Amino acid sequence: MSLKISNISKLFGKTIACDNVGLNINQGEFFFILGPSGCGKSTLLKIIAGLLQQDSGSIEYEGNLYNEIPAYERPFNMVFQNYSLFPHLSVFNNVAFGLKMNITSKEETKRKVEEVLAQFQISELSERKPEQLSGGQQQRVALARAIVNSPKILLLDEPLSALDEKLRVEMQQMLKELKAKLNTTFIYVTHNQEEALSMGDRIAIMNKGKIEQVSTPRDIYYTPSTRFIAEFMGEVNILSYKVYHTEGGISSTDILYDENEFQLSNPKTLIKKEIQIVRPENIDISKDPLIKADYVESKRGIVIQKLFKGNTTTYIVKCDDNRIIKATDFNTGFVELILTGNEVYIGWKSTAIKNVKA
Amino acid sequence: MRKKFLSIYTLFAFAFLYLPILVLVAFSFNKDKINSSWSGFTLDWYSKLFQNVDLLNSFKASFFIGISSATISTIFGTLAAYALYKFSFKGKKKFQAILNFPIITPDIVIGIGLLLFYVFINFTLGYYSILIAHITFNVAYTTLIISTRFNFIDKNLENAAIDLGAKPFQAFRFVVVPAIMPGIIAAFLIAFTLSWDDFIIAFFTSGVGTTTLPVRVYSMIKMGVNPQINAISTLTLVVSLVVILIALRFQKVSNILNKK
Amino acid sequence: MLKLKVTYNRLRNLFLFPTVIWITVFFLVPLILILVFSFFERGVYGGIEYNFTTNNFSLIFDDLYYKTIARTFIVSLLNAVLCLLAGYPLAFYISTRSSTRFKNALLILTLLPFWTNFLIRTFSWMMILGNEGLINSMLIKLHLIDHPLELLFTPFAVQLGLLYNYLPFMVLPLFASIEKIDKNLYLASNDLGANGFKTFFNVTLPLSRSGILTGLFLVFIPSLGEFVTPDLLGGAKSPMIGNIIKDQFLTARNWPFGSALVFIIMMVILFALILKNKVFKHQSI
Repeated sequence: MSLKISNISKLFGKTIACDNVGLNINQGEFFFILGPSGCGKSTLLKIIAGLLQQDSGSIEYEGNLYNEIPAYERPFNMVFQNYSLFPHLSVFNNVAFGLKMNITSKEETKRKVEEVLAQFQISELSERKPEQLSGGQQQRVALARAIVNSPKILLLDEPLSALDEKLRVEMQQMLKELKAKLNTTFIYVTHNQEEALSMGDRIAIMNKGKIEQVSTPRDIYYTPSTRFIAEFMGEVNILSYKVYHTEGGISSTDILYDENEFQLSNPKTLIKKEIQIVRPENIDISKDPLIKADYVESKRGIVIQKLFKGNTTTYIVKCDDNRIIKATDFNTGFVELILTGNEVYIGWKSTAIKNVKA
Repeated sequence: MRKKFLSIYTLFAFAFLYLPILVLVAFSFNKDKINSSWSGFTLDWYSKLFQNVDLLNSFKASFFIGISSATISTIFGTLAAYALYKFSFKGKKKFQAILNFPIITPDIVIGIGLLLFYVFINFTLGYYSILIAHITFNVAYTTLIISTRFNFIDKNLENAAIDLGAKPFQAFRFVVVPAIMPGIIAAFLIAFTLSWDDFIIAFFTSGVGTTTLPVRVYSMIKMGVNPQINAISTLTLVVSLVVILIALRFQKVSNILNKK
Repeated sequence: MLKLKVTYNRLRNLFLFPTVIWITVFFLVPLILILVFSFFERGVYGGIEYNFTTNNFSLIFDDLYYKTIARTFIVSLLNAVLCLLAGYPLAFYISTRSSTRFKNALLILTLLPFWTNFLIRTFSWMMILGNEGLINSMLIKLHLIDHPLELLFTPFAVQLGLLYNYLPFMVLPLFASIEKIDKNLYLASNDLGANGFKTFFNVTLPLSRSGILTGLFLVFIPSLGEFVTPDLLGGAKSPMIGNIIKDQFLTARNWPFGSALVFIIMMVILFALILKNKVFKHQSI
């Protein structure tokens, strides 16, 4: 355990950006902080970097307390969302900036900068100014500028959000390769769950200033600890709503099927609320009736909408009992074509059902 | 039809704007002192100009007051604009509004106010009374201009510098200042121009010894028509034109250098 | 945690210090002095007697001075309006040019005459409007008139001179606000069936409101303090408050009265600003 974040809170006026946040991040981890816009993840990152002062709590690294240590003395470097390259300096001087601030000799600086430029394949851009570079090139310069200082922790603030799809995938690959070569800890902040799932060793889900779950990508996706996480990480079908309460020593469960009713239900002796979910990809769909024994539940319905997404298709099915279920399937070409208006049969297995705190 | 009207109007507007200028320039070369008739080309007035010691002294005074007040007010303005950019505090908006007051206050109010002030504290009127006055209104302009420039720079530039190891002052010097440099240059040029052009404030705050160029020209005008005035204004115009052309060329060259 | 906050506060104060001190001492204090001095009496030899009196203010309501103050107000207002009428088409024309180069060239051309000193520009008008000036000598040569027209030393000359000198203060903010209008709005307006005129009155004019307001203020307020233009182009015939103030300080040596007049100008400006803020709540100059 090398970076220990404890009880970090930060307020901006009346807005709580970080609410008693605690994290333990291991050296060499590719750690993600994932959450919607405004959840406080960028604020947390800046506090780790030392660019913002927390109102309470502490940052410890390798056993040392970092609260009083200013940003320019911390062995962490950050890659900013809009790159924040220095407009008046060439690419070379941008990358060399950190080294120069740490009084490195000219030869040493030259060597290190050229090495890292080559590593990112931008050597030929050395004398250009940031305004002459494309988004992808600026991205690499921003990375090079941070990496060249051999930081112990690399902080990335949504670095790929400004890039188009193809470029983003390319850069993701590059980051993975880079990470594999270094022993640097990567702390990556994003709102894109795909990035977090595909690249992270562990993910911390942050919502409204609080950390809701810290786990591996698989755990977060398959066993989300809250409704927010379940719905944030992917699509869900809510099968039922459960309200647990006690009445004079006897616990009972109300099972509801309406969202509004569920929100309004607040018995005085409430114990917990849960929703029962199944993800669309776990729902089998076919034009032919399904074998009842294979499924814990199966229904018949009509396809009211079909969403073609390239490699998958999501079918929105209105079942005989008037419930709407989403089912997603891969477009492999082997499955018979299901069209809007078709009668279909859908079903799911018991293993696909999750009960999630709501 | 409307388009034609607009073009014709613009033409007339420019004719109106340039008529006095042309008359000015033309009659700086006119032999005849009274400008109703053209009596021949001469450079006499220009040579007389350069022998006019009073006028040359005024030129020097205006120049040095201009450079000094522009420099000092640009430095003060940069610091103030930076503080306003970085820190938020209670009453900041009202504070900024007060800093802008000198801009909307008529020169006569500033001039008389300072005259009373100087007399009140028994301060001798002279070079420094004018300099102080010029810095007073210039500092409001420079703060405003540089503050505006701050709105256009990346908010994370300073953070990036500090994150990479720069101490706050280093970040200011190596990253912030270069980023706002166009604003600093614009502020300096405008401050110099305002100081150079100022008549009313200098009129009320100058003492016996120092006469700035506009004040000198005013007394020359009051004494009667004198083509030396035409000559000096033509020169000022030419110098301004040259400066603008150089500035534009310089911009183009630097653009080319950048794109290399 | 507290240590850094204290450092930040000290740094902020240090940076703001020079500017704040300067403006407080050399701008705010003089304004207060103006107010204070206007309640004193003129000394026998032109100095100041520190006796409290409101005579200076009652003197203002004297016929002579009152007329001048009213005239100043009207002339300044008229100047603002004339600048708007004259400047708007020009700003509009420049803004609607398609080539940026041409636009910049036009802007520079508009501003270039104002790189000469305004005294000198005003002096030029003296040469043009005078009895032996350009206009009169031309008209006489062409036998259109026998005697020179009295153009100089008239209210007309003063208004003309003011218009000439203040035009850029109107054109620049107008141009800036017309430029900001999304060009697509014109297309949308045309698409919805409005012709040029209608588009202008329903789209351009309202959206350039802030520029119009800024321009009017940038012209009106400084005009109140003018004395050079009425002095050189108006002679002794149509003085504005500024001329009287100058006289009081330099010739008549009645500083308290002069201060009172300056104070009146300050009050008019304050009043105009408050009015503006009440009527146009979210505009800022």
